Amino acid sequence: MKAPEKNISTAGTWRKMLAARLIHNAAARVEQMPDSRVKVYVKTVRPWFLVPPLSWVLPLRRERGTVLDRLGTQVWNLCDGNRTVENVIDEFAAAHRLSFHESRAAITSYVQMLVARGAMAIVVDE
Amino acid sequence: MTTENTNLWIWRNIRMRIPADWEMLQFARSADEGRCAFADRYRFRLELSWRATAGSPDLERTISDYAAKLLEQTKRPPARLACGPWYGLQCERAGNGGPLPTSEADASDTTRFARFLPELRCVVEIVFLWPDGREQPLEETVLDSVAAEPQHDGRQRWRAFGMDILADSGLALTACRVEPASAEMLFADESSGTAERFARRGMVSEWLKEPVSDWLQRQAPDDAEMTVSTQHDRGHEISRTAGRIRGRGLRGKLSRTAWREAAAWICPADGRLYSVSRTGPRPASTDAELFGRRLACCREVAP
Repeated sequence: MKAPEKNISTAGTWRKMLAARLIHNAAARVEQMPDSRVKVYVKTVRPWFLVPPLSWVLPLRRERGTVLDRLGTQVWNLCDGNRTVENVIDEFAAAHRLSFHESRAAITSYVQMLVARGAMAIVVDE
Repeated sequence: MTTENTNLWIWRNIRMRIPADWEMLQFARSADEGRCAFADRYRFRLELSWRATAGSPDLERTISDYAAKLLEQTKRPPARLACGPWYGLQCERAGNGGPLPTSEADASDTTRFARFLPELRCVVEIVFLWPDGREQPLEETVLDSVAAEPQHDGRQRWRAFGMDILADSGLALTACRVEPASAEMLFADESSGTAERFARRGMVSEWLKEPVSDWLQRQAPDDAEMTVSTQHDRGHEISRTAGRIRGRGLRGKLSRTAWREAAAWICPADGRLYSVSRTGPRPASTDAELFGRRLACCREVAP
């Protein structure tokens, strides 16, 4: 038999992650695009070295925009701050006839990208 | 737990019934040694591993050694279990049995079983995780269902990722790509140049912007000379292609011509696109059973 450390018994549960809520960055600006997509603008932080005269020749964009595709927009709209990650996964799965873990893999990787870009935050209730 | 709320899973000629809401999240392709792990929506619940052996190993001794090792690590003696041909151990509050620190919320009882499957000449081990306490009826249902899957007229049956597959027995699973809403399994034998590819793709309305027959034609290599046909069978509209693949230029004239046949359809039961293709030497008779027999999607066409 396998040593205990090499099997699934040491893997944790996803319960805490699934109970978290996803909220939009309150400072983000959302622009509706004509084809039911959205573009999310997040304010950028000025780097410490970007001061005059360097900033005169290297202008800083005040916002960084991310265009969400149709599916991304659906995820964005589901993340309203009230739904838990589990709710979002379930609703996305039902809408696209996916299994729970198919939906979970798709949602979590997409949300990770949105969080990395500062468009979204994860609230974990202790 | 009844068979109605369980799904049949077949991998590497090992069959087993698991609860319908458990999904396979990890798998191995090797026939000699590997593991598959299944999870419910909150955590892993079951791991099945296999190891090919020349003969029947001394499982009684193996389990005793393992129990001694667990006792040394956890300072708690694991209970011995017996369930038919299975040798088992129960370890309480493991998570815990391993050396990694685990929170109480993550902890769960585990039961471990091993047996030898003589038909397959391999040892099968199963680890259950019981976060809410051991469920013996479920455990028995799963253990009782573990068996060797017989060959089907020279074909090996696999059942996973929503596909029920009959692949040529001479082929090995050489690739398995699983992504959200997309699973593809490739069975191949390089020496004969034969390959069978089975796939199931979801969210079809998001990416399929052409008829299935056109999509299927595009899957063939550029140098293939295909004929296309469409037919209806048991509520499914099946597109088929068949024809030669001839290499270009001098290479094409010198090399052997390969034969390719493929079928694709959208299953009305789950809205997914299923596709199956076979490439290799031309068979004595064209296989008209790609749909339904070689790849089945739903109960309507189940073998």
